[in-house]
Amino acid sequence: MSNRNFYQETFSQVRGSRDIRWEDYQMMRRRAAGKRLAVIAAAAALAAALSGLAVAANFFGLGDLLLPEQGSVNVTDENGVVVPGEYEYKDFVSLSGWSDTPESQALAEWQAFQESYDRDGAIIGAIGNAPTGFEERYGNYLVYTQEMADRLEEIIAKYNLKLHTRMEVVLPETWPLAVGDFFRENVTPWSGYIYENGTFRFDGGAELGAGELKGYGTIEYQFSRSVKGTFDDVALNVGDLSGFEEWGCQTTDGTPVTLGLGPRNRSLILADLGDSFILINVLTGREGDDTFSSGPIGREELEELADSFNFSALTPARAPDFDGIAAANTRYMEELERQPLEVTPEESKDPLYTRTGIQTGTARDFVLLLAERLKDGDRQAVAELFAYPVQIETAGGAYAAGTPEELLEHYDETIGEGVQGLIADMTWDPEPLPPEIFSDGSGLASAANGTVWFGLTEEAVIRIFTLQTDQWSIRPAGGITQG
Amino acid sequence: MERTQFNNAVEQFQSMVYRTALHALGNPQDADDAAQEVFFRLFREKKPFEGQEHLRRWLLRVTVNYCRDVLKSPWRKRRASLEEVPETPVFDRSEQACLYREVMALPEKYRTVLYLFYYEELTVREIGELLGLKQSAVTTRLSRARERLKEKLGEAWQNE
Repeated sequence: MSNRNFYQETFSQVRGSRDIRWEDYQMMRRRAAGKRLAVIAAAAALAAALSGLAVAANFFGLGDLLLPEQGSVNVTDENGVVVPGEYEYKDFVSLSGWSDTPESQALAEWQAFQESYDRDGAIIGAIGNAPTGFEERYGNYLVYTQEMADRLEEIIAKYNLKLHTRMEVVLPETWPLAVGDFFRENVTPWSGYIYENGTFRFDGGAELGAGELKGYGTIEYQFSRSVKGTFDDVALNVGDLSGFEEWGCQTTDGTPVTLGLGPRNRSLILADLGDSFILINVLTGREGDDTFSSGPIGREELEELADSFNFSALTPARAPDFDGIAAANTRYMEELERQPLEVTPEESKDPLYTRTGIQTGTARDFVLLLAERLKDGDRQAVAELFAYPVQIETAGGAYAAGTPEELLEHYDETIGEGVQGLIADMTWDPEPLPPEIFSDGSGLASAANGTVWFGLTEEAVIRIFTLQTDQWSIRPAGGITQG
Repeated sequence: MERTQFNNAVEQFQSMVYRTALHALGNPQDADDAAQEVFFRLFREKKPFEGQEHLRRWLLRVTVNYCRDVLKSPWRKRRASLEEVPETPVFDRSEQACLYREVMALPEKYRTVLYLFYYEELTVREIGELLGLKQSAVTTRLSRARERLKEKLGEAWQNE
């Protein structure tokens, strides 16, 4: 057996464990739209209150956050593909605080060391995933040789810092227990992690309702709280800070914040809480970001996002209750397992719904309706059940129909020809029985042994896409265009 | 994207996206997350595809780029070393389990190239374009990966 066959036979047995369903994404979109409407009024009021509190002068600016050296990153083409051998230099900022703090100075030295160490990756390449012996003390850092360990120890001694010793995952609904109630109802924190000293990070979403985002305002961001006194090796690529518009203001809970609105698709919110430092990397700016589906934002939205957090609840920083977090995480996971796909239990048990978005009962009602109209000879009503335009093919030729009236011109030679058979396949005698309905994964449902295919249109109504026998067919013109 | 096209794409390419992400990220949980994210991007995609091959290449590119972003992400990088070693899937034959284990033990840069070459049957040039690597770099990675597999798997892996 060739290596290729061996490889393919092996990995063909490896599959993901999650269902990916159009309906779930659609539901997420609808749910987001619904929730958005509910928060707009409150959010707009908060933003209005905040904007009157601008702090004019002498705040720490974004420039005070920059690490002394720019970092190199790959250049990508318009398709997002890396251009080999081409690099560009970007501004990096510390998540730990202003650049003159011990934490950020230590980070700058560590970054400089890393830039010069094992540049061709030969050492780490040789080690691979094998244990290094440095995991216990340096498990939260990229340390894989004695030389790296020595350098790190030297740096933290110089700046009198400690190392992180433990980190645990925090699941979405565990955040209030892990850290406290520091966010408002328009904010959704997703999973993230927390360290032994209370440093934590998570990705999140927020519904905003002011300014340009009025009516469709979901944005995404990355939230970081770094507790001072511990070395943290995370630096953030922020591109070019020179294009950022920055200003200071005070949130409604009295926290001074620095805001930086990026010209393209990144913005920043900073707050120095004394014993910890907040950096929110907002994944949109004046242009918006397709990748994160965030629309463009202006000053109002950035201020509104800043005011979506209750920063004062985050100080003083306290060590997390890891046992409590683990228990809350477990409860969250158990809850998720009870509602695995964010659909109602009835929906999740319905394979037809899974495949078509139409519940079995609804689909049966539709087939019954079609059968009734055929039986009654109500041609107009039958024709109105189709999704238009359609292509009609008969022994006599092919025709297009864009309306029920145009289909009626060919009714006799198509539906009228086989009406008794159609009714027999879709109805029941003497009493109605549930029709057999199935779906083949195309998104359409089928009844009458494959004679009729129906599904949801873009307007979310059920219509017939195909009706066919051996002698004739009525199919979508130009392919199927479902919702 | 329309529902029918989307469902067809999931049916046809979900496993490809998952396996690509698994090779890149080395962790089933992360690979599941990646597949979900990649198909969410497809769900939102408005431009039409010129055919199945065009769609396949698009999905591969988006998956590779997404995984690269994940690997670069400061949020994830610090977590990786603390994650538990994931369980090995069940295979028909013991040598397949060995191959899986040894491939997943390789560094990421070897895993992805191996997968694209042996499973997806992309050429060295195509892999280079997808990953932003020179062809010589792809060849070197393939060669080193083969050497390691030969060393670990013995007779089960052919000399090439």
